[in-house]
Amino acid sequence: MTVTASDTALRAPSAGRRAKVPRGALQGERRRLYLPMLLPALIAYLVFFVLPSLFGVVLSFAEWSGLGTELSWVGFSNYVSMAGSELFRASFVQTLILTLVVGLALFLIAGASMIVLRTARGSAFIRAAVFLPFMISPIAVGLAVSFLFNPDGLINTVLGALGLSELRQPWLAPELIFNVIMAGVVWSAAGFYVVLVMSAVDGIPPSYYEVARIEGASELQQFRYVTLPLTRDMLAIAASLWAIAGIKTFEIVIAFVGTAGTPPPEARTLAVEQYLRVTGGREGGLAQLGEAAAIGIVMTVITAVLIVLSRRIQRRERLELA
Amino acid sequence: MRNRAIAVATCASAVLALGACGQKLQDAGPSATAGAEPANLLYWGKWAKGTPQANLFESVIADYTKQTGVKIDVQWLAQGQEQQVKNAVATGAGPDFFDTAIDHTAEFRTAGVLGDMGPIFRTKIPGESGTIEEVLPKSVLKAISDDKGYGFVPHSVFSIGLWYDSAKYPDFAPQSFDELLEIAKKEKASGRAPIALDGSVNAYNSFWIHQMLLSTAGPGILLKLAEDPAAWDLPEVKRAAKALESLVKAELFEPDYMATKFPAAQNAWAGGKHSFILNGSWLGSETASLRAAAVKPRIIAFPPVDPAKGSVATVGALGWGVNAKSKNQKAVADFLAFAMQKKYIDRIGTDAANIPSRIDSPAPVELQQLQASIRDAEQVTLDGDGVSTVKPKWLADVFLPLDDKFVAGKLSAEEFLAEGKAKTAAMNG
Repeated sequence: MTVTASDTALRAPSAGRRAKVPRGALQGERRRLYLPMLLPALIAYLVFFVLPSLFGVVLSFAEWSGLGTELSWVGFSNYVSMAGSELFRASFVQTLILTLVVGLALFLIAGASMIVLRTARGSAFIRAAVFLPFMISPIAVGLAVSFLFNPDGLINTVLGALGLSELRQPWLAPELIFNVIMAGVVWSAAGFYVVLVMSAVDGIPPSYYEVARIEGASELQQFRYVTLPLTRDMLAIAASLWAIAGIKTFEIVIAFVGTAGTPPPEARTLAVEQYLRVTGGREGGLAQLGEAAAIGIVMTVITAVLIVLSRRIQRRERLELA
Repeated sequence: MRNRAIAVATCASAVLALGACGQKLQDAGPSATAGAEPANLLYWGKWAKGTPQANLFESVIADYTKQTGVKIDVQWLAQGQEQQVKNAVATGAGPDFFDTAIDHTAEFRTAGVLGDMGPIFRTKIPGESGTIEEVLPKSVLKAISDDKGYGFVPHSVFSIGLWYDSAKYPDFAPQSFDELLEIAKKEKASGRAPIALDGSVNAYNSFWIHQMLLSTAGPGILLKLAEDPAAWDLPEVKRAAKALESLVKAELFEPDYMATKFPAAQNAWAGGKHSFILNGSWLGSETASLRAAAVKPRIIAFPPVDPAKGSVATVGALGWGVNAKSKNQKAVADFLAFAMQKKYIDRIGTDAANIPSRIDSPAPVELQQLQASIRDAEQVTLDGDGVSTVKPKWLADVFLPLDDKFVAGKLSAEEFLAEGKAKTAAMNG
């Protein structure tokens, strides 16, 4: 098995090496072209991303209900009010729980698929089938799942028919609805992460596994000593993508609640809480855009922290296939 | 250094460019349609094309154009139309008039969309002797007004009441909440869950306590609860809370009512599975297609917890708001007066199965008792006492979550009152 560690390839050229590059006429011509080539993208990035983002940050220190209303500065009071709000704290904790619990479930599913699907017959079909829910709109998933879990829905009906009436539950009641939502998110998102990590597994030469088998490694050991080290980068990417998606979980919660009312506090995520403030709580109230912006800042910070943490946990020397 | 200078210049030009855009939007004049052809009007509607209301209003517009030659460009924008109106008006554009409802008046006022509607209300209705103001019941005029006057011209009225099946209860007329409780208990004893409730809709849950509070403490009580923690100690408030507690403890709501997927409960009621549901006057038309053949729905005002107190009607309304910046105020007034003719407003009842706003337009048979209650009410209030527009944060963060727990039976009346008082005090500082 020839797995070599080589991080030098990743290193940026040092300042010293850079200084030694000869500055010929072609090089000068190139340099003159950098700016005009870069400027359109730079302006677009500035106008459509940097400035709106900065406006969001600024808005989090203000009270504003949108165009036509007066904007007034309130300092940190949006953040202070959030910290004191039971609903915000609940949505904050629930968002973290959803991101971590669903993330763990997705990791386990992805891990199991890396062991099983690598050698399974009909692997391509299974991958396509598992990926299918990811292609369905989260709104549709939320609606379908919530109708299944209605008190008179399929789940309770089947449990009753199987003589398991004691297992029938008010699944959509405030105390259980968040668990059902998390199950729906796992079902919906698992396919994407399975396909993602399997694309990395497919890149591992079969000879590595042959050698491992000859040396007596079990399936689990092959996963531990071959698959895992060689897919670590992809797992890190998957973890980062999930951190971003998990913190922003929104549509499926709204779909569970349907077209009337607001989600119960027990089911709200930060994105839902932000939406309720942007829309004035769906009760005809004025939009609280300052608070919504503050929630957005908190979401961005949590996402950044989770990404950094996941990269740190995954940090190893880069392994390259020779 | 050169790079830094370029970066600074780029930023500055982008900021200036954006600033210029903002300035242009701020400085733009009133309605874009206003200048060239003042006789033509732009109307932004909320109804989906093909709905009874959209069909009715299109036919009114067609009649108007035929008679006067004035063209009205109607655009059906569906959900979120209010936000589009606010944004457009703020940027100097927008329609001459638009669909609105009672709970949007405050936000339109704040956004500067609405102006003085007095002259419009004093416009004479063609072919009739009265003005718009004169054909509307006093209770409705009061409900659509705020401290700056009328908010919009109403074509439909809605209210909250108790729906029942008149096929099962032909002489249903409980004089008090206690009588209702007894009827429901008897039905439960016969093995039927009497009351439907989509408990996952917090606004529907709040109908119960609000209707009870209205009869014990009068209109505006929710606003008092939002503003003054001491109001939670009022004996009238406690009486209403105890009444709701007795209903929850008697287990008269359908099983697992806090876990239903909306609109499961109201559909089950329409299908005849339950006899009663506390909901809006819109529920009859909303569930008409699902109604069991044997069910004959009717709605009455909620039986009072305290029958000794005067009647209070919850009044909501849908109608047409007028863009204060429109240069076609007179033309809009003329059209709205035309649309308020009895022959058109009658069709709110016949075509859309809602309560017409005019005092002389009959509601569909299932809504007639409630229409009479609105007309004869000694006092009126808005849905939820209008708290959603005045104290939206209190409603969303304190009242509705707490009320959900109370309706779910997780809090006793005493706990509900104590927590409500404490949380209101904490929010109000």
